[in-house]
Amino acid sequence: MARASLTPEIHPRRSFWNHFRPYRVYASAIRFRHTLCLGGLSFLAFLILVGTGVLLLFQYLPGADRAFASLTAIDSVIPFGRLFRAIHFWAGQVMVLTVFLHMGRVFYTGSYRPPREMNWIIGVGLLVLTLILDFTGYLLRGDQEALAAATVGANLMREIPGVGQALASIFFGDVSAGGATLPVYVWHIVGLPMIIGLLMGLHFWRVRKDGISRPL
Amino acid sequence: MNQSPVAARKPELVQAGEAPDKLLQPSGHSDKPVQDRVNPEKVPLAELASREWVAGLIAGNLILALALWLPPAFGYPPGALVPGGTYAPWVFGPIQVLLRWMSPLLGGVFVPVAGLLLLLGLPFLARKWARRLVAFLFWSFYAAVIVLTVYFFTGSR
Repeated sequence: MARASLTPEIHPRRSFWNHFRPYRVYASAIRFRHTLCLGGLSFLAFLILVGTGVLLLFQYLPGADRAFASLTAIDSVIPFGRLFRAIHFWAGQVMVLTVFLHMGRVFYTGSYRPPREMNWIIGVGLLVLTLILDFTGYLLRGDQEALAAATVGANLMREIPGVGQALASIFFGDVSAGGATLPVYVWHIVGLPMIIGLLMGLHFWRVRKDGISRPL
Repeated sequence: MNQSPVAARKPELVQAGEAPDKLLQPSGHSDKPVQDRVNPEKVPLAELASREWVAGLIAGNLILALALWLPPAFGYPPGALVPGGTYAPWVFGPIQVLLRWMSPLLGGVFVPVAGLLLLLGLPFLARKWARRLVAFLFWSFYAAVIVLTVYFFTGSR
């Protein structure tokens, strides 16, 4: 039989992408009640965050005296600025919620046990990074509440024996005038999304390699 | 049939009929009929993709609806007095509640780090401890986070 006459799923054109998206998947693994789509919805929320976040980057300015003003301009002057900021905000809340629920579902199905323990650890890392991403986003509002949150966060980090002072300086910068500092901004738009993106790729790859555990 | 190098090195597997199909394929192809090579337990990716699209559209519309009906509130400008005091973002509500009851080092560092270490260590605890004990630890932690978050919204303000 000629190769060209076969359907793609029988004679697939193989690529690196197939590690994440194989041409055929187990029917038992795609049932809705198996995963509740929580991992996929977390990824969707992350994609929405990246998309709307890139748009917000064009207008947002970090800094103690500029962040709040630029956010006010986004909300009240820039066309659709309020809508994109609101979508960005709600996608962040949905991501935190779905990642937390996803962790509960994964534990319930026993997917933390061998051979999936490495993926569980990656998932825990993604949960922590998601919380930090949400927190840095809160600080970038640049309002008085963000200043208070940054002060509390920096003080808590300084409580860590030995390295606390240095960690607080690296992560927060000088929060005496506001939470929307340049280090927080860079972590929020570059550092954390890059690490989360890489870990997500590794997470999805391991899901394919280790297989889906038993259904609920 | 032109055997692959792997199949040539392990003829006993081929004779016993235990060699996987790919061992018998010289270059990713098989002489078997096409329908025999398709795992009946598997379905095309399109089946999964269609479910993902439906779930994604529902979730995307939910986020859009929330954004339209409940846009995020604006805070007080820098330097303003905030009536009633300031609160942590809700995702850190449990830590704020703990900080009311414990010292900053205990409630803000040690307890959260202990929770994180518990989560990281679950697969390894499961090897040595009874499954029920590990499940009890995890669900206790999970429930504590939920209870403290609810308390943050309702009881601590």
